[in-house]
Order: sequence, then structure tokens, then C-alpha cells
Amino acid sequence: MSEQNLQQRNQRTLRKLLIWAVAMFGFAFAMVPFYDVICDITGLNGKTSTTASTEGPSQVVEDRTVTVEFITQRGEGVNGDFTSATRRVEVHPGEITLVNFFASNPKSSDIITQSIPSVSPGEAARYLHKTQCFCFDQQSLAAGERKEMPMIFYLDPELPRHRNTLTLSYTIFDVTDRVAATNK
Amino acid sequence: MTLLLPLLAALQSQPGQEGGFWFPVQASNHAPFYDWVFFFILIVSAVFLLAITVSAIWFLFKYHRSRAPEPEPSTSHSTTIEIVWSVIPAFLLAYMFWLGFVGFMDHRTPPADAYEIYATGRKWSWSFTYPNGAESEELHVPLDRPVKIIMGSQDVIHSLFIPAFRVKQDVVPGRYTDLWFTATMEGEFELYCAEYCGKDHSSMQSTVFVQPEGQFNAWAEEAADFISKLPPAEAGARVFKMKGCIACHSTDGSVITGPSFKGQFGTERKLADGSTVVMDENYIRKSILEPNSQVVAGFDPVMTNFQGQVTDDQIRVLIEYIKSVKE
Amino acid sequence: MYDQSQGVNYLNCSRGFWSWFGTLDHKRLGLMYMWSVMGAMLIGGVFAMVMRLELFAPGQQFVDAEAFNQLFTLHGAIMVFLVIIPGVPAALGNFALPLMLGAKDVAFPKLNRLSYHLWVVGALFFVGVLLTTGLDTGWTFYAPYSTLHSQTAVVWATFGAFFLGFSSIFTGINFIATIHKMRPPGMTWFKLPLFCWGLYATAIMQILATPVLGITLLLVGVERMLGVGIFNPALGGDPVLFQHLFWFYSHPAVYIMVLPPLGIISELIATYSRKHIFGYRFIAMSSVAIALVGFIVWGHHMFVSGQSALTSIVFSAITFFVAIPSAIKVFNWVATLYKGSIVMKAPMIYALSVIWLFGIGGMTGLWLTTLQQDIHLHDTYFVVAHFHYVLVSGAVFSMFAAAYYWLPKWSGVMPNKLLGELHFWSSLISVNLLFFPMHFVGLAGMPRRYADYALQFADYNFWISIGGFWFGLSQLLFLAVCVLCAMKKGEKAPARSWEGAEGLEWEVPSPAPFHTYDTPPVVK
Repeated sequence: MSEQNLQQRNQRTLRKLLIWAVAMFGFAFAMVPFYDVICDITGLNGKTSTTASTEGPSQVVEDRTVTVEFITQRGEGVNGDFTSATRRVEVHPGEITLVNFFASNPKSSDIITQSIPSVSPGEAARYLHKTQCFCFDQQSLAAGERKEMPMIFYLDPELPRHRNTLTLSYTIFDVTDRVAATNK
Repeated sequence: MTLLLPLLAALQSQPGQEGGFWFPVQASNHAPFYDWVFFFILIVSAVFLLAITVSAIWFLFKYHRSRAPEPEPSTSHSTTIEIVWSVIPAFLLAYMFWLGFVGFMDHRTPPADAYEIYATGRKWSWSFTYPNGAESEELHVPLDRPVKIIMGSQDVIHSLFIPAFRVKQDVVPGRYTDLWFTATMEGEFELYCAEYCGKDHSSMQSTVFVQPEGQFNAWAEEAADFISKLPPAEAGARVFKMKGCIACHSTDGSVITGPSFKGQFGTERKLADGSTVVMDENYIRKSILEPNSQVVAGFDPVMTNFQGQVTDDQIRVLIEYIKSVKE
Repeated sequence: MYDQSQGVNYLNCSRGFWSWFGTLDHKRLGLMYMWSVMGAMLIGGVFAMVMRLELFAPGQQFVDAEAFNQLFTLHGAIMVFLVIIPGVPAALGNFALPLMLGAKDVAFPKLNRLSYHLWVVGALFFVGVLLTTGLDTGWTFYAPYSTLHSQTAVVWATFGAFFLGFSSIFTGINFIATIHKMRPPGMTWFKLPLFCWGLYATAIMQILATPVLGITLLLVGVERMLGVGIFNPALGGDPVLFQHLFWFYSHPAVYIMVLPPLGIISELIATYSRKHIFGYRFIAMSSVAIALVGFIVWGHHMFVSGQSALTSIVFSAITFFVAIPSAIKVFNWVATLYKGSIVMKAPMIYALSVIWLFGIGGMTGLWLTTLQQDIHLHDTYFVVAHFHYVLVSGAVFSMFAAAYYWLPKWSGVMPNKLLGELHFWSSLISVNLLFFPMHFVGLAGMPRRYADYALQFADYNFWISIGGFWFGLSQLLFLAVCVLCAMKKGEKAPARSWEGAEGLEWEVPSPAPFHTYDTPPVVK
């Protein structure tokens, strides 16, 4: 085994190992969108789709009733009200239901808000379809304004049988500064 | 064996008792099983550690250079022995996993009829909101009744931890999490934030007060009595929200299920039967207690009857609030 | 083969700063790592002692909450990134691996030098952080605190960790190539010393896991500076994603820190029992098994984080698998003592204590992976006790054992016997006084990272602090042993410094000559 030979073989090993390391860098980058995709499919983190579902429900399952609870939370810096009109509704899977949410802005300046939905248990997230939601877009609230924000949803008739309660929580954030920063 | 005796004693402890010599008291439904599993793993570990220690010390003594000048011939591997000492622990580990799984599922499955309290974590304090609208910085819970804490964070990740109840759950911004327990012991217990959250993380502590249901309800009623503390219109705004009026009556002039209240007070309303009525204190009171007797034209008589669900004080402040909604 | 003139070795073959800082020699690089790591350990240790001073009694005495948060952050970050991760692979591994393989050097000496220089750059970033606004995120950098709320030098620290990551990756690549391609004729895989197996398993993890940490910390920096929503929930990010990414690296990192030290213990117990190790293949394979399974257990750090119950159950089950190869190691060590001829030298007494101390650290892990048990114990002092038993009385004690074992080869003189034994007994008693009561405060409910605590924890914390000061001061004895060796004060060491030591590193004179093994030896 000559010195030259060893050098060459070492170089080959180096290249292989570097490829592994670079691949892992790529893997880590890919983890961010990959995690989103996984969570979209499985709902593991309770995120719901951020766009309106275009298809309507295929059928209404009259003989089944599911309780949907609503929880509202205020993120940092939001000092107005943020509530849902009702704490819970009982719906049949496939039934289209409207729930109003209210947000107010007691400040003397206009604000822009973004609400982030989260469903629990996370596995149920993909069975909750929203055809209209204030969370799809940023909502602006004028100074002193009190706003009614509708959310229309239906549950997938395929919702597993053992699931008879799910909880949809919204957290409202004040994103005025961020929006201003990106528009500059 | 003397080492194990206090552990065995602790195994037999009942709910509400001291949880062994180092645990906090067992003050919730979760604690007895939790402590039992802890001591089970402790005994298994102690037996293994003792076996390892004793045999190592025995070998050190017997095969020390002074007694064994040369190593004796012995086999340097045995697949049988390796398999035996892999498989036996494997069974014990599987059982530990099972115990942990059973306990965990119990922790993660709140009963449907649990009393619900909302908790909000923020740098660096807790606030708890009760179904009747009461708010407090300490957590008050009824004795012997399942309680579900629904938690959210306003800023960073916190973690709600009550050692005496053996419960803990991170509080994550942007989603909600929950935990549940049934307090089984009257008294005051500590509540900590267990996830590092910045400067005053270690002062983000509070207290849990466990009281018999009657006393708890009395406390909750007293705590919810914001009516006597706030200016009437403001208190009314809270009742307006709390009782859900907000679902059907807007205050910005828009029409939802019921008429808006914006700037309506004192005006004349046209009813469905063609007569008119002035919207004054009496009309509002009557509309709350006998809602569908005088429905404004253009609306369906669908309002819930609030007879017995609102107090006179609440109606009084609600009227003040409606008066205040002008522009 | 060693026809160099008498008295010339790797230490004195050339002089001057650049002959050291610019060297390609693995032995010099190993020695420089060793001193640098010890310097970092001193800083991290002083931080820990200031923390224990503050926690001596309830209430605020010496440092306020803000300073305390910086102390535990930098203690953790320095000890993890600057001490334990490079300590065994880079410092001990660099020196010992080529010698044990009978190789001239590592496969890529220039890459090796680059690793060290990157380590220095990374360390300078950390020092920079220290001298500017500090760092208060905890070594775990949890978002959104680190990305939105902390007012400290998070970006600098993440850059530092980024450089250290590259240092670690390059070392891993170097070691794998060395072990694959530069074993001497006759040394088959199953004749490889067990320390090399440990380094090999670690190198795999360094290459595969460290890039994920690099990217994760980069994302923290990006979110902090550009305000994009990766972890920030207000912008649609997910703070739990950070934890997944972080622990994807940081759990394997625990094994990066632990596997080579356990390899050392296997070497030492066999050597000082004057026997072949019992169950060689099982020990070697258990390292690889731990390394591979170690990649898929990260979720056990997140049982109460709000990840789904199903995810937690799966991670708990897989984590229990790690207990089996760990137990196999311990059982085989004890079996190796059987029918041996045991000599109690300083390296051996350390190795024996590690069996016991690592055993305790491993067993407390059983509670933490049992789903329900973790609910109460998570983020309490019980966890602090657990990982300090594994990393201090497991990994650091193994480093001490290895240091005493190889010091003759590094310096040419035997380590001082009296000081060594004094250091051992002093450390053994104090480390238990320091960490054992932490189990009890944890069970009683004291959360970790608390600058102040409730009255009922005061007694335990008093004793923990006493143990802390005692343990910290005991390490001055180790420093004294090292300094004595460096000054050549002591009994001159022969080539085979310990009776029964059989590795190839003992074939060359002590201290090692500058050129070792120009032609590889043949292993029978």
C-alpha cells in the first residue's frame, strides 16, 4: 500500500463523508417546510389550513353530534377584547356552521391583527374545514373599533367515531409593527 | 434491606397522606399512582445497583493483585449470558413503559364534566379565569371535583407545575394546552412556572387554594363581584360579554340576530305587532326576563329567557352599559 | 524505527508559538485542545460556583435574577459546547486515536488543524458574548424567548456555536476516515480498541446531527434579525418546531459526550484487571446501537411541551431501548473483573467509580422516560441531577481516568500518585454531596433555572452548595497533577507505562516522539 494510494483513498472517504454532512445541512433546512407538511397531513401540531377550503361537505351525518369548543387568547401587546360569540356549539358532521368572533381595539391608533388557529386534539385538525375565516387574512382594526369577525366551518363526515369533542383556539396577535416594517 | 423499608412504607401511603419522605403531600387523584410507580422503579433500580455494587466490590476483593497474582483463565464472552442480561431488564423496562403509558393517558384524558378554569401565563405572573367571570392571580379549586385547566401564553413558553398534584404542562404561545386533576386534600399548595421564561422566572409562582365545594362557590361568587368594584357601565360591559349578549347584539350598529344597541337608548322602537315602546330601563329589564313579549319589528322571537340567570345588579349595570353605547 | 536522538520528542522538536498554533501534529493539537478545554472548564466551573453561592440560602444575596440567568446559560453553553463535546473526541481522541491505530497521524492533518482553529474562533465568540451583553436564553435557546424577547447577544452566541459545530463535524469526518482507512494490517474491526469504537460511534453522530444544530441556530439568528416567522407563532411559526430541531441534535449530542468516555472505561477495566474485556463484540455493538437509536429518541425531552400524546408514547417506547445497550456495558464491565488480577491505580479507581456513578445517572433516566413520571420530574432539579450524574460523574470522571492513564505518554512522567488519589476521593465524595440531594429537591418540586427558591428547599440547597464548592476546589488538585507532569516533575515513565497496558500507543517511547509509526505495525 503506497503513500499515494492511501492519500487517494482518504480523499474519496472525505468526499463521501462531506456529502453526508452537506446532506444533513440540507435535511435540517428541509425540516422547516417538511414539518409544516407533516403537520398539515397529520395535524400533529393542531395547525389548520390557512386557506379556505373550496369543496363543500359531501353529506350531513344527522345521527351524530360533535361538540366544538372555542377558546380565544390574546397575544402579547393586545389589550382589547377578543371573544367568540359562543363557548361551544353542537354540530353534525357536514353541517355548515357560522360562529362570530369579536375583537376590539381600545387604542387611539389603528392596528393590524393576525389570528392564529390551533385545534386540539391535533389529529382532528384535518377534519375541520373552514370555508371562511378571519384568520386567513390580517384584520385591521381602527382606533376604538369593535369588529365582528365571522368564521364558517364544517366538520368532515369522515371524522373518526370516537372523536366527539374538539377544541378550536385562536390567539390574536398585534402585527402592526411587522407589517409596517415589511412595507417600508 | 433497611434502606428499602421506608420505601415500602411509602408504597402503602394513601391519598392525602405525606407522600414518602421526600415527595410533597399527595393532594390530587394522580398522586397515589404516581408515587407508587416511582417507588416501583426505585426498588427495581436499587436491586440492580446493589447487585452491581456488591459483585464489583466482591470481585475487587477476591481478585485483587494481592490475592490473585495472575488472572485465572476464564471465558471472555458468552452469548447466553449476554442474552440473559439483556432480556431480563427488557421485560422490566417494558413493564415500566406500560405503567408510564397508563398513568400518562390518565393525565391526558380529562373527564367530560370537569370544572373548567382558564389560565394565562405571561412574564411573570399567572391569571386564572373562572366560568362565572371571576379572575384571580391565585388558583382556587373545589375539593373532590375534577378540574380542567385550559392554558395559554401571552408571550413566551411557560409551564404550569403543581408539585403536590404531580401535574405539569407547558404553556405555549399560539396554541392552548390543558391539564386536569381532582384535588383530594384541603389546603394551600405551591404552583410554579417550570419552563425558563426570562428574568423573573423564579418569581413566577402562585398558590393553589383547595376548598370544599361550598366554600369554593362562595369565594367564586365574591370574586366575580366586580359589579360593586367597577364603574357601572364598565361592569355592564363585562356582564354583556360574560352572559353572551354579545353573540346577538352588536354595539356598533350592525345587525346580527338581534337589534344593535348602538345609540338606541331612549329612542322609540316599533314592535312586531305595530305598537311602539320607548327603550328605557323597564323595557330592557322586561326584554331580559321575558324576552319574546315585546319583539322589535323585523326580528324573530328567538332570544333565550334569562329569568333566574341574571341578578338584579347585573341587569342594573347592563342597563348602564347600554345607555353608554352611543357612538 | 525510533532512531531520533535521545530526548527529542513531539513536545520539544520545535519551539515557538507558531510551531504549536500552526502545527499539523495530532499530538500537539490534542494537547492544545486539552489545555483549551481545561481553560473553558475553569470558566464554566467558576460560573457554577457563583450560582451555588447565590443558591446557598434562599433570598437574593450575591447576584440578581438577571445575572443568575446569564450564569446558568453560559455555564451550560460553555460546558456543553466548549468542554464535553470537544473534550473527549477532540482532545483525548486526537492524541490517542492515531497512536492506538499505529498510524502516522489522522487521515487529514490540515482539516484537523482547521477544526482546532474553528474551535478557537467559536470560543472567542463566546468570550465576546461574555464581555458584551451576556446571554440569558439558557443553553437550549428555546424560541420564542430567544428569537423575540431576549435582550442579549443571542446572534453572537449562535454564530459561536455554528463555528464549534463545524469544528465538531470536521473532527468526526477525520476520525471516520482514519478508522476506516488507516488501521494497520491485521487490525480487523473486531480487534479495534473499544475507545476507538466509542470515537467511531460518536463521529457518525457528529457528522449527521451537528448540521441540524447549525441550521437551527442559524434560523434563530435569521428570525431575530429579519423577523421572519419560523418559530414565532404571531407569524405562523411554531415554537415547538424549534424544540424538535434542537433536540434532534442535542440528544445525539449527549451520546457524543458519553460514548467515547464509556469506551475509555472499557479499555481501563480490562487493562487493570489484566484480562481481555468480557463481551467485546457486545460492548462494541452496544456503542453503535446507542448511536443509531440515539437519533430517534429526541422527543423524550418534550413530553410536556404540548406535542401530541401519540408522539410522546412512541418516543418513550424507543427511549427504553437505549437502556438495554447501556445496561449491557455495565454488566460486561463487572464481568471483566471476574477472575482477573486487579491493580488499583488512579485510572482504575476512576474507572470503577464510573461504573457506579454512571449506573446511578442511567437509572434516574428510567424515571424520566417513563411518560407519567416525567410529568412531575420534567424541568425540576431531578433532571439536573440526572444529567450531571451522566455528564460529570460519567463523562468528566472518565476524562480524568483517561488523563491519568495517558499523562505518562503525553508528558513522559508518571502522574503524582498521592495527589491523584487525593483528587479521586475528594471528587468522589463531593460530587455525590453536590448532585445526590438534587434528586430530593427535584422530587419535592423545585424547578431548575431558579435564581431563588422557597424555604422548604433551603436545607438541601445548603448541602448542595457545600458539595459544589468542595468539588470545584478539588479540581485544583487535578490542575496540580497536570502542571507537575508538564514541568516534568515526577517519576520518569517507561514506554509501557502501566503493567498490562497492551494498546499500540504503549509501543512508542514516553513522551511520544515527533514521528510515530512511519510504517504501520502489523497486528497479530
